[in-house]
Amino acid sequence: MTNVGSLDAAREAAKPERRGWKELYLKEDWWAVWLGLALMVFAILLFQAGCSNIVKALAINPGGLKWNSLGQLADYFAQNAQLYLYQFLFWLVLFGATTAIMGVKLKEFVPAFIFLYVGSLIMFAIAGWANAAQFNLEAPLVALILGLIIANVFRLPAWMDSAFRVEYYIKTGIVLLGATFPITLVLTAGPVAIVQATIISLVTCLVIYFVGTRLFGLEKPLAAVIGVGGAVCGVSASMAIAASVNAKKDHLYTSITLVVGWALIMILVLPFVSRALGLPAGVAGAWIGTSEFADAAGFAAATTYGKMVGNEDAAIKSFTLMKVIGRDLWIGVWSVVFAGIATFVWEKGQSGRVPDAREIWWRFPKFVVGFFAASILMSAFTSGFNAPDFNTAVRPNVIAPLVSLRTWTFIFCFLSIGLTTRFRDLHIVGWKAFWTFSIGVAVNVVLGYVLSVIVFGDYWAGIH
Amino acid sequence: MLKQQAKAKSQFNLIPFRFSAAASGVTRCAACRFFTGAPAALERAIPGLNILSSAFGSVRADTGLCERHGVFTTARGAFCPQFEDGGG
Repeated sequence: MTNVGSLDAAREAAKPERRGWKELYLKEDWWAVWLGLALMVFAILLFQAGCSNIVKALAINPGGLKWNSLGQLADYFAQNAQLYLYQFLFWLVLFGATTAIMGVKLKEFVPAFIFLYVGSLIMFAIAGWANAAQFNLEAPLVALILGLIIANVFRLPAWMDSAFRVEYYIKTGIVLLGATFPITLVLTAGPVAIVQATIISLVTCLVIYFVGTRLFGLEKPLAAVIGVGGAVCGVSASMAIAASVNAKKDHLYTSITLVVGWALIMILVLPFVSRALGLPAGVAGAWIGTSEFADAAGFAAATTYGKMVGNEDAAIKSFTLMKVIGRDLWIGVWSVVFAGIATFVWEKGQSGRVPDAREIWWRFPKFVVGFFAASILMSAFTSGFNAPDFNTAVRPNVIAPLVSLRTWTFIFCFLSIGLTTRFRDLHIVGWKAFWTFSIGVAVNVVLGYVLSVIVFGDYWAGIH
Repeated sequence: MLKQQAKAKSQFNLIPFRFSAAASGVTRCAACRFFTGAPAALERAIPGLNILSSAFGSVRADTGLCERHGVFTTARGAFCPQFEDGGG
C-alpha cells in the first residue's frame, strides 16, 4: 500500500509546477515585451498629444553627429548634457527596476549600469566620427572589441555582470524592432524564413549529433547539447536541451566555449566576407541569420554589415525573419524530441522522465510574442495615415525615436557581450567536441549560403 | 488491488527515490538542497552562461543544476534517492 501511495505521490511530483503569472514578472522575456510595448505606446501617445519632443529628447544619440574634431564633440556634449542626464536616468529606472524585480541586486546594478551607459555613449561617439566608416569603426564592432579588451586586460569585478545583461537588452531591442517592422512583411516573408530555418535546424543538428556520436564517439547527451546549440540559438538552446537529456555540467561548459568562440569569429568574419562577395544587405542578413548561433551575436554581425553597405534596415529585417522568427521557434521542439529520445531510446524508461509537449510553450522565447504584438499594433496605427503624412509626421516623431531607442538597447547589448566575455572563465574543450562542432559550423555556413544566396537569393534581395 | 500493488512495486524498483517529510509528502528537485534553480545563483555557478545567454530567460524554463550529481534537470524532477530537503 505504501508503494501505491508513493507512486501517486511520484506522479504528483512529476507534474509541472504552477508557472502562470509569476513568469510575467520573473522572466526577462516578458519584461522585454512590457518595456518594448510600453515605449511604443508612450511614443504614440506623445505624438497624439503633440508632445513628441519628449520622446525625441529621450532617444538622443550622437551616432549621426559626423564630428571632425574633439572640440566639436565636446561642444555637442556640453550643449546636450542635460538631455543625456535625463536619458541616463530614464534607462536606469527602466532596466534597474525591472531587473531588481527579477532578483538582480540594485546596489550592484546601478554602478555597473553607469559604467555601461558611459561606455555606450563613447561607442556612439566613436561611430559618429566623420571618418569612422573608412576605418570600419561600426558601433557594434567597436563596442564588442573594446568590451573584450576591457574584460580581458582589466579585471572587472564579477558583480558588474548584474548590469551587463546581453539577452535582456537584445530582447527589448527586438520588441522595439517589431514596432518598425510592417506586419505584412512578417506574413509574406515568414513562410520562406521558416522553411529555410527548418532545413538548417534539422541538417545542422543531425550532422553535429551523428558526427559526434558515430565519428568521434562523444557521449549522446553532449552531442545533443552542442547539436542543438549549433542548430538553433546557442547556449540558450543548449540549456533548454540540457534538462531533457540530463546533461552534465561539463557538457554545458563545452557548449558555452564552442558557441561563444565561434559566434565571436562569425561576428568578425561574416560581414567582411559578405562585403567581399558583394552580397545585397537583405541576402547577407539572411545568411547571417542562418549561420550565427545567438541572437545577440547575429544582430551585431547583421548591424555591422548593414552599416558597411548603408542599408542597415534590410540586413536587420532579413536577419530577424531568419533567426528570430525562423530558427528560435525550434527550441521547444528539440527539447521535447530529445526528452523523448533520452527516455525511450537511451534510457529505456529508467529515468522516469517523460516528454511533455507543453515544453514547446514553456521554453518558447516569449519576446517573439512582443515582436509580433508591436508589429501588429504599429501597423494598425500607421494604416490610418497616407504616405505623405506618414513620412512628414509619423516617421520623424514616432518611428525615428523608436529606432534610436532600439539602437541604444543594441549598443548596451553589444558592449555587454564584450564585457562579459572573459576568456579565462571559458573551459578548455576536447578536440573531439571541437571538431564535431566545427564540422557543424562549416555545414551551417555553406548550407546557409546556398539557401540564402542561391535558392532564396532573389527573395532576400527584395527585402528593403 | 494486488495486481495494482505488484505493478506499483515493479515501477518503484525501476525508479528508486524517497520522499521527504514535507507536509505534502512530495519531493521535487526544486526543494532539494543540492538544486540550484535561482537565475542569479545559476549564472554564478556556470561562468560564461551570461555571455550570449541568460538564466533569466523563458527558454531555460525551470532547468537548474543538481550539484550532487553534476547534471541539469528540471525543478520538477522527482526521482532521486539522494534527495535532501533544502527547506524550500
